[in-house]
This record gives sequence, structure tokens and C-alpha cells, in this order.
Amino acid sequence: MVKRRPVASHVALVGLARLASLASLACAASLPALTSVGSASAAEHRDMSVTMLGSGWYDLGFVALNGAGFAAGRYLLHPARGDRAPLDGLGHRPRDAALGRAADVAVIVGLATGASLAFAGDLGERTQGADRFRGPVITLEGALAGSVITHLVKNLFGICRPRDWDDVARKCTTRGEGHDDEAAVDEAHRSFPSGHSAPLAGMAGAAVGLWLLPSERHDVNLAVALTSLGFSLTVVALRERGGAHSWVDTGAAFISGGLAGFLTAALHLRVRNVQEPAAATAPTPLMFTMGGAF
Amino acid sequence: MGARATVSQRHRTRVRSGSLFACAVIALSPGAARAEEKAPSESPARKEEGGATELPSVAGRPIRRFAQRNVLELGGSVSYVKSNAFTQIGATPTFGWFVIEYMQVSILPSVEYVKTFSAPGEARYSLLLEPSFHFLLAGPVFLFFGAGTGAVYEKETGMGLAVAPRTGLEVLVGGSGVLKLATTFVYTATRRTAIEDGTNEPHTSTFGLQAGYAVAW
Repeated sequence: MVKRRPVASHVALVGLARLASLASLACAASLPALTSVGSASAAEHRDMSVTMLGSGWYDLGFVALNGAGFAAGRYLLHPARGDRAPLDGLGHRPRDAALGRAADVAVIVGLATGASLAFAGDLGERTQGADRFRGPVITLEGALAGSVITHLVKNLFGICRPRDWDDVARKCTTRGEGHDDEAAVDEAHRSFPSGHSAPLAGMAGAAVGLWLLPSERHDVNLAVALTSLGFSLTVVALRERGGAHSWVDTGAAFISGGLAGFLTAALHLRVRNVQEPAAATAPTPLMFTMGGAF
Repeated sequence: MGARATVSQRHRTRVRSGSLFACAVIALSPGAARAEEKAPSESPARKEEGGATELPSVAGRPIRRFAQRNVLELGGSVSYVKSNAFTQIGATPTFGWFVIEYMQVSILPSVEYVKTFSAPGEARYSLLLEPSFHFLLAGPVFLFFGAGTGAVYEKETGMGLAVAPRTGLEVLVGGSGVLKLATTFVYTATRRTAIEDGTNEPHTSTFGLQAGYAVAW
């Protein structure tokens, strides 16, 4: 269902988009986009739609930037190796392989479901050409952005996983990892925040952005958001129950991932003049619009 | 002679049918656990559950806990909605299979009949495939989340997409009963637009409460 909001709300959205863009991790990549937003008075005569900023190069840059951050957090950086207890104060919990496996599957199924639904929703809206991939691309970018934050932050604090924490010795061991090597020691200290919970929260945040930010609302994005949100909360619970994380870890990942996803959607906002055909929207050298309402 | 043969035949028939009945009773009896299949090993969380989540053995299957791998579920729900504008009745049988521990894949075919005051009644058919995740809250109560996706068909608007995420509680009742209470969001969309259809809205979004019952084994 398409619902159009009054023009006044567009002005607020432009401001929100600016703030969101400035606060995002991909701030540098978003700066060219800000030039396209235009003044508030001009926005009163314009229609706003969520679409991909620039061409596929913009997506490529976004993915490359975030992919580099992900790789750095996962493989290059190492966490602090202190003996910091799980943040919820509940101490050791045993590793539960079955719950861990269920969480792994939930992440994969959740991401695949969210992206597929976004794609199917775009098809249903009769979008043309590359616009058919707006939904899945933005939601997956949101998942990536959410994941990057957690993988970078994990190395800052070196919090011990509940399954590895020894209550008696007050030390962070590797007994919950199944192997005892340098990689296991790193993994044992990467409890905060949860890397499994963030991508789905990011996808949910991006879907909420896709639903709320454009002038024309498509309820399929609400369906994507609720589905991703459900998967994300499921993973939050499964990871905590499985001894991999404390509630603080999963909660922080849920909030930060959701915000990152929402900001990712905000980064893709652009203003289109409804008085003129889409082709009349003059592209700047740094922003090639691909046209089509979302 | 003929009479004796007849009595004998009747007796044999009675014995045979009695044996078949006995075999069927033994095979389907919850108490008759002939554990030919190896019972799955239990995880730490499972060991703490006690007997509250155990399901009876059926047809020689080992005793399993609810949400363990290979637990099967058969059930359904019926719905009745009465409003100022329309009356709707529906039925949704469900079949579920826990493919891994805590994760179930369900098939949910559904038939709904909607009658508005201004238009003749219409049937709506949908088929959803729903992956869902279940974990124990306390005692015999499980929390679950499922994301049903699939197709919906209406004669007026044609085939379309159906998305139905839902979350709720499952309470194990009796030997193998599962009472399900859930809140659900259902979104359906068809390819035809409102312009083409005149008054028909191709997109529908509804929130609702759902109650169902299933048998698991």
C-alpha cells in the first residue's frame, strides 16, 4: 500500500537524512550525497524517494569500505587480552552447541529471507530495471554496516565470553571454544558486542528506513522490517542461551546494528522534483541517479 | 462341518483383526517405547529441562523433547472474524518438522472465505513455508518466532506474495499436545494495481492474534 505524507514532513526528513549521513560510519562516502539533498525550501516543491545514490559505483564503494572494515575487525585486529568478566555479571554459562547451531542457521535464513522479500516486494511494486534491486541491496548493505561496527568494536574491549569465563579463577580461558590456539584466545575475548545479532538488526533497521523515510510508503518494507526484527531478536536470545554472549553484548549489538542499518537507508535518500520528469533531475558528477520511484 | 468352519473362520478373522488392532495399539501407544532408533544426545540446556518437555514415543520412535531434531507436529487453527464491513472464516492446517534442534520448518496451507455486505463471498487460498525457531522459557512453555513466506491467490486479484511473520508462546499440554498463542502480521500483495482493479486493494496488511493446537511426536 502506498501512502504519501504531507510535504512539510519532507523537510524534516531532509534534516534527518543529513544528521544520519553525518553520523554514519560511511560518512566520507556519503558527503557527495549530501550535496544532492538541497535546501528545505526547495524540498517543499519536491518529492523524496529512497533510491541508490549514484550508480553501482556508489554501492561498490560502500561495500568495499565496509568490507574492508569487516576484514580488518575480523582478521587484522586482535582484541585486548585481559580477564574481563561477562558484562551482565552472571559469570560462566556452558556452551550449548545446539543453540549455537540454531543461531547460525537463523542468521543465514534471516538474511536470505529479508533480502528475498525485499526483492519480491520491489517486483510487486512494478519497478523497472536496476530499481528492482533497491530493496535487497539496501537491506544487505544495512546488514553489512551493522556487522562492521560490531566486528571493529569487539577488539576494543576484550570482554570474555560467558562460555570461556572461569568463575573460580576469575580468568578468561578457551574451554568454550573447542580448540586451544591463538585464534581461540582471540575468539574468547570477542564477546562484546554480538557479531551474530548485528547483521539482522542492521537489516531490520535498513528496512525500517526504507519504510519510513521515503515520501511514498510501501508496506512490504514493514513486512521485511518485522521479519528481520523477529530473526534478530531470535538470534539475540539463542546466542545468550548458548553461552556465547551476555545480554549486554546482544543488546548492544541489536541497538548499534539497528541504528547502522537505519543510517544506511538514510544514506540512500535523494530528492526528486515531482514537478518535472525523473530525467530532468540534474545529476551531479558524483551522483548519477538511476531513476524510478522506490 | 460347514458351521464349524464358519465359526473357525470367524474366530481366525477375529484373532487376526484383534492382533492387527493390538499391533496398531502397541505401535501407536505413547508408552510403548521400542527405541530402535538411537535417541539424540542432549545439550546442557536440554538436561536442565526435566520431564516437562518430553514427548511420548509413537510407532517405535525414541522419546524426544519438544523442539528436538526430527520431532514432527501436526495441527492447525481456525479463525472467525466479524466486523461491520465483512465476515471471514478460515482454516489453516499445519505440518511441522524440526530439521535441527530448535528449528522447525512448517507448511501452512490456508483457506479463507470472506463475505462483505456489498459483494458476494470470495475465497482466498494461501500456501506458506515457515522456518521458525523455538526455545524454552520455563517449564513447558516455549517462545517461538516464525517467518512464513509464500503465495496467496484470489480470483479477483490473482496470485501474489504473502509474508506472515509471527511470534508467540507454545505451551505443552497433556502428553503430546501443543497449544499455540501468537501475534501475527500478514502482508499480501498481488501484481494487479488498484487502478486496474477499481476498488480492489492489491496490498493488505493486517495484525492479528492467533490460537492453534497441534500434536507433536
